[in-house]
Amino acid sequence: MPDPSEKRKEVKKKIKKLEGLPSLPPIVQKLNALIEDERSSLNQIADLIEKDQVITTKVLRLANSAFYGFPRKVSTVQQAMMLLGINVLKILIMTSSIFEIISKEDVGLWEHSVGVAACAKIIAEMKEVSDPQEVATAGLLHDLGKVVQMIAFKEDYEEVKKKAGAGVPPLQAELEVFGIDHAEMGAFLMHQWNLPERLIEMVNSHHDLSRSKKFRKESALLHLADLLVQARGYGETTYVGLPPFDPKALSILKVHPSEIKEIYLKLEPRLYELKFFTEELKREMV
Amino acid sequence: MSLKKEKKDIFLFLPRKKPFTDWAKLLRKDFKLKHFYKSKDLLSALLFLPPQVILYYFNRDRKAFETLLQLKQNFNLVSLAIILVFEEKDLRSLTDDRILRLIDDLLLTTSSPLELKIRINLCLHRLTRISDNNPLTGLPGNVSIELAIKKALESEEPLAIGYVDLDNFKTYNDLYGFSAGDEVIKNLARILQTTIFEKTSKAFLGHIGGDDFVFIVPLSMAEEISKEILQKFKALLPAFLSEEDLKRGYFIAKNRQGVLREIPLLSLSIALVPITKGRFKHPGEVAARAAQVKSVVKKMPGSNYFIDRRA
Repeated sequence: MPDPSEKRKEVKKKIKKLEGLPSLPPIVQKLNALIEDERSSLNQIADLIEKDQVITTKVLRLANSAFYGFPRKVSTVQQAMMLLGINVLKILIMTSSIFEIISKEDVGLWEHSVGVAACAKIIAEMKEVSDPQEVATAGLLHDLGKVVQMIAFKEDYEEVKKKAGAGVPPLQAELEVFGIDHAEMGAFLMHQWNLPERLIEMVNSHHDLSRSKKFRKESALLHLADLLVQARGYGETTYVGLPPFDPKALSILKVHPSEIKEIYLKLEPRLYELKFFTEELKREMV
Repeated sequence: MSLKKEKKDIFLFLPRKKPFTDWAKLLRKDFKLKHFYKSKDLLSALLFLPPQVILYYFNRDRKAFETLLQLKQNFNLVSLAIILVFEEKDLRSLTDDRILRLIDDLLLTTSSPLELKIRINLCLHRLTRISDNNPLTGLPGNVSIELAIKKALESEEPLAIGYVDLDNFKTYNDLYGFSAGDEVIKNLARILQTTIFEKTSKAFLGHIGGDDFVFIVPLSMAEEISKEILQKFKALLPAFLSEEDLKRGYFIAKNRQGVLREIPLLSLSIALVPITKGRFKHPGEVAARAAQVKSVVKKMPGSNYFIDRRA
């Protein structure tokens, strides 16, 4: 068996060299069409971008790069678009690469991510956490590390899936194969690309609250949103059952168990809306 | 910190053949070279890690070249030198004035590697020497602004000159520090740039200095553009304020007498002066009128624009 700490170093080195990630072809096509259409509004475009974690990361990365703005400030697509402008956005989308092959079950990760984004936003609004849109962005990006695994570490990713299928808890399987889990991988990449600290900390600690230092409330929120969407059965991840849940999240957030029902009541219509989009996405992917 | 000069980056978008391979061999000693063969890769790299110089083989992909020019314009990449590489027989097709305005030099494929190297260095020196552009924002500075206003006074089409400045910027600088202040200025410049040039290509935007900007747009669009600028500024402002100040709704800072006082948060003022042919003779008259309009806007609380409607 390979030494996980050696593998960890190797993984980080490879992520540092990563120049970009591909996006889902139907999303790129739709975005191109939307941008070419003069009648579409900035909000419509932002809405679509916020359904793809890869393009969202790309837009944030550009708006936060030292060359154009000042790093680590811009945390939502809407803000980034105001700074970049439509012409630059066009070029950005034009130069987006797309997935050559991706299996249908992997599209489930997109579904899961937009679900968690919606849920995180609802909880943020209920609990009056500042900047719910930023929290939603963190929800969208929380499994970015898995996209990295799919793209840059294909064989290892298959290995993780095999282990998880044989009953090893997925996070442990990731540690065995990579020496690092997807939460830390995603956060590491976001750090390389100068994304805001709050987003990075939320993503990094979404399976392990002890990793959060400055943004404990936000991290607990994402931890809960991830569980709720998974429990609802929306999208797919490597977890067949539920991810381990740390009940401290409830006390940090001051969420009473009875409020969970309220969250679900608000979430359901949003998921219903999103379903149209993701179903179409799946149809077009095959 | 080492004092050794870092090698400058050059992107090469050239066919993989002679004489270009010889060029690269010589340049490699003095510059960090990156070769691109697909225009998509070139543009993507340009967005995220722009180099100092690009050598672009004109015949290779004209559409991508158009995008490259757009990018240079949109981002005010004044410090990016574009050197076009030409076959002598193709020079005839270089009639587009816009291309000439945006590129920095031309090279024929028959140039020797040494000539190429000297030209690149010359280009880099020229860029640092003659720029009237504001170093922080890359926008045209006072010489260009004066010229643009003079031209506007002669225009047949009714125009409006907008004077933009931040209220309470000094307090912000005192409280948050100069680098945070620069951050606000740079982002304000981006908002102005994207909003104005998305609406019309017949516009001018300049940076007078500090927190003062000037734009010139068709009169018919001036109010719409001003409204959009203000709206975007308001949306982005929270990113630049501390949670404390945001919650409180005002700054607490010492005034000139050294007494702690409540001072309103950053806001944006735009004074619009309509220009119809013959109304003003000299840029100085416009500036004087603008100062009057500005004093009106400044008295309104928060972010506002005001248009001078007197004949």
